[in-house]
This record gives sequence, C-alpha cells and structure tokens, in this order.
Amino acid sequence: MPDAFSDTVGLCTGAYRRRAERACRKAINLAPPHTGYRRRLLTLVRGWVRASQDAAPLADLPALACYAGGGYPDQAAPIGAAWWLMRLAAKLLDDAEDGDAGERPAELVNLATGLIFAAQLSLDELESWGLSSGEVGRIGRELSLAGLRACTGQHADLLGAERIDTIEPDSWLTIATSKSGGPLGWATWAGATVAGVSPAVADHYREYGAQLGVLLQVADDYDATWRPDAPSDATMSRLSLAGAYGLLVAEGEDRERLEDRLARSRQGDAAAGAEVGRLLTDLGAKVFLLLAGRSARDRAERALAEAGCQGAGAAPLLDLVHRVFPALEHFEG
Amino acid sequence: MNGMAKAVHDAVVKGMPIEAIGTGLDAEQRALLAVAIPASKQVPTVDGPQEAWAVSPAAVATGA
Repeated sequence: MPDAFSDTVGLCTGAYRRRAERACRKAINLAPPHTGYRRRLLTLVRGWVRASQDAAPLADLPALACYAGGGYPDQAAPIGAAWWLMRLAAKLLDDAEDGDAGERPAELVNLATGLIFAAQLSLDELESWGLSSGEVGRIGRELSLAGLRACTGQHADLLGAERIDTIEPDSWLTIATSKSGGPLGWATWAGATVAGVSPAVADHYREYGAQLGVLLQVADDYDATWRPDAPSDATMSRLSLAGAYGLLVAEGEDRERLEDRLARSRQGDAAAGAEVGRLLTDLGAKVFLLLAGRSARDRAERALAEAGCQGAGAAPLLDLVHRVFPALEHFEG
Repeated sequence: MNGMAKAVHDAVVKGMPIEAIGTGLDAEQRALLAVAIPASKQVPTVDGPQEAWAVSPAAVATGA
C-alpha cells in the first residue's frame, strides 16, 4: 500500500488543521466570557489538538474524504472543527460514564455539553466556502442524527453491561454500528459533501466511514481481549464481541467455566482475565474477530470503489482501513 | 454474525468440512468463511509479540 499520509496530503491537511482549530475557537468564543467556562473550553480544545497533531488520521477524516471527493482538504475545516468538538465531547462523557472523570464529573459533563453546541455553531463557517444556509442546515441536521445514533448505541452498551451474558454477536454489531459507525459515517459523508459530490456518491462515503467505525471497534475489542496491557477503550468488564461469541458457541462445562472467569474478570481478577483470553482462543474467537474485521474492511473498500474513488485520492482512505487492524495480515488472501 | 459465529466454531473447533456447515450464510459470508478456514492455521494461538501489532487501534484513533 502507498504511504497514506504522504507529503502532499500532509501539507494539505496542515492547512485544514489550522483552519479547523480556528473554527473551533471562533465557535467557543461565542460563549459569554465570565465564569471561566469559555477559557476552560478553549484550554481543553488546545490540549486535544496538540495531542492529535502528530499522527491522527481520524482527526483528518473529513479532510481525507473531501480530498478523495475532488475537493481541497481545507474546504472541510468547518466539518473538521465540528468533528473534533464532538469527539472531544464524547470522550469527556465517556470518561464521566466510566467513572474516570476525577473529582468533578458534573463539571466535565457541562463542558462536554457546551462542546456539542459549539460543534453545531462551527458549521456556520461553511457559508464562507460558498455553501447555502440550506446546505449548512442539512449538514448540521445529519450531525445531530449521527449524535443521536451514537447515544442510542451507548445506551444499549451501558444497559448491556448489566446483562452481559445475553448479548450475542449480532447485538454487539448493532451497538458498534450505532456508537462508532454513525459518527465516522457523518465525518466522511460531510467531507465528501463539501467537495461537491452527488448525494448518492456521498452515501458511499458515509458507508466507508461507518465500516471504518465498526472495524475500529472490532480491533479495539481484539486488543482488550488478548492484549489487556495495550491502550484500549474496551475492557473485559464491558460488552465484548469476543465474549459474546464465546457465550454463543460454548456448551456444557466450557460455557460454565467461561461465565465464571468472565464474572471474576469483571471483579478485577487479572488471572481470570488472562484465562478468559485463553478460553476464547480455544473456542475460535480470534478467528471470528479477524473474520468480522475482514468483513468490515472489505465493505469499506467496496464502498470507496462504488463511490468511484480511486488513485491518489483513495490512497489515504484505503491505507487507513489497513492500518487500523494489523492482525488482519493473518487473513490476507 | 450469529450464523457466522456458529460456522466458525463448527469449522475451526469441531473441524467440520466447510461443505457441511454454514447453511443459511449469504454469498459474502461464505466467501469470508472460505478465507477464514485455511487462514485460521496462521492465527497465533499463544498471545505475545508474534501478534505483529504495528499500531494499536487506540493510537490510530487518538494519534497517541
């Protein structure tokens, strides 16, 4: 595969990032200056941008889709601003829901709520790129719909964690598609839309982003199951595709042992967690997760082909789906 | 995916021939299964460095 983040694309996304950060600040500066709220939001965004400026393909997703659709990456800067603000809001809310918000979770929730409103405001900047207010409104509406889908998936995830043994692979996939596929699908759809592609073609870009989102969730789950020391959003204490697979196919003593070790792992028993990984491997869960990942990757590639996306424009997006889940190299062919 | 899960278990763990499993799968799923069965022999059963991770998904997501 070519190097996706080649010098050419890298230079273009540099302008995109600067403009996106400026659009973030402009939207946040619409908040009243007193109480320090606005300053806190600006500090959070500055930290987020710094943390992701070296190598953050997902931060550049709207620009890459815009470039692939025949536009200039920096045309997508207002989309990028909304995308960054929504992702940062989602991270803060996720931390609060997971109990990782420190001593002031209520403050974090209020900051995240402000970021969601700022994300919508940042889209106003699109009018300076020649989009009509109707087109800007449609892009904002789609962002709200993607957010609602993500919240619906998160709701199912939170409830499912209380009855983990009833979740099957199909349910897990539905949750992953809502939680991750919805927002990533919006980022690529909106990026391609501002490039001027037709609505039908933009829908193929949305499908690419949605499948990339599912692929990320599968890869994160694989990591959490077999590399618990690796950085990951997933843990064995939450819903997992590997666990859902194991509980669907295991029978008799295998199932009893798996249920017991999963329960102990959720209580923080590291040895039980390691045994869960071994049990799931014996049940064929690695093969199943790789197959699920391969399926999502194939669908993402097919969506790009159906969008007529090829050559230099397609290379960064194709490279991205190949970087997300390196263990898929076992499944080439 | 539930049907695929059972098909993978039948093939990889029970060793059933591919012709005997996967009824009810669509063409895409059958094609994937045809790749998965031989490839499953390449999948490490022992966890560790041989997993060949070049980058973690979390790092791709956050740029960490």
